[in-house]
Amino acid sequence: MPVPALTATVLPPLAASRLAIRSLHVLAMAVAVGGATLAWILLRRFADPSAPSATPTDAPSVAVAHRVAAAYEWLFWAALGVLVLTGVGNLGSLAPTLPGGRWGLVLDVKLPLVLALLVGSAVRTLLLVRARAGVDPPSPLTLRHAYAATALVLLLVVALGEVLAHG
Amino acid sequence: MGEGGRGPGPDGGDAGAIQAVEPSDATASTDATDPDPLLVWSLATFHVTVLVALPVWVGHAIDPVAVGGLLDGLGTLAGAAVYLVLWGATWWSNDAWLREVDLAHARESVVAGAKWGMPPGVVVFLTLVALLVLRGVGAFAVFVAGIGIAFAAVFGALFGALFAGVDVLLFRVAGSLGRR
Repeated sequence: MPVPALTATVLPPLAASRLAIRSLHVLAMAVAVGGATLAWILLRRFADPSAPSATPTDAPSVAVAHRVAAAYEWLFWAALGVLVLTGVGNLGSLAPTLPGGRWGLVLDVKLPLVLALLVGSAVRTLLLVRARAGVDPPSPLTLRHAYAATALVLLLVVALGEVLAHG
Repeated sequence: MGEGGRGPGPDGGDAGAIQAVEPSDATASTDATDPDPLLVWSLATFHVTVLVALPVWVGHAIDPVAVGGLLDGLGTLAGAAVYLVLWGATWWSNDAWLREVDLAHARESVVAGAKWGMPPGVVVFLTLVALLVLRGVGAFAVFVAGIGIAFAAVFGALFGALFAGVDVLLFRVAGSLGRR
């Protein structure tokens, strides 16, 4: 049997596109959660002035932590852009009749949480942008808390996503 | 025009300017008036994601059947195309917007936001028209395009001004957090 025919039998185009959307959704969330956790750990390890090991010579470490955080911000916003795109795509795969009841209620909780995450993340990125520009640079502790909060909210969004996907 | 290092704005805005990035940063531009690329990218994506997620949430909370019907009618490929066009156009327009203004100055940010909100509005509208043409409703699409571009520009300006206002507010929140 020719390979294209076999592929079409095993994975129809519609199923393939849904698989691609779901895979992108999971990958983007992995980037967002993993990066926030990494940024939080780095800021905790290298950029906490209250840590016993911290000295004035730790300044380069703060700069390194800011650079890592900035790299994460690029990835985070790319991931969030992909998450919203694929999230709506996932919703579209259930259309035209979206599930109601408990499923609908969970979605109505998840979406405002995502919006709150977006607003909070915009503030977090602006904190870092200001730090890079040397304008009212936030304390490493503030940034540390921002990344920890980001990771926690993302985990909550993941949990709600799990409920939507698997009940 | 960038306003790096200037004092408080005429509207009592935050003194912080965000055009300049640290010289050691690999992504820093050689032109001090260029906006920080990270700021452009993050705000553009923030605008697009909120612009999509907020109506989906409100729509689903009010009328899930209507949201399901709309998503079904649009289709996966067309929906993704419109989203990516919106994302790209917003990224470009945010870059142009942030070259003109400093978020520390609310009034000029909102006015310029309205101006630079128009191009993405028109581009997304024309993308929707192109989709109608591809679906074989060419004559209707041309008719809609003729009268719709002005409305798309007005809607784009409204959203541009609105998001500029939100950005200014968030910029001030970040400033106050930074000073704590």
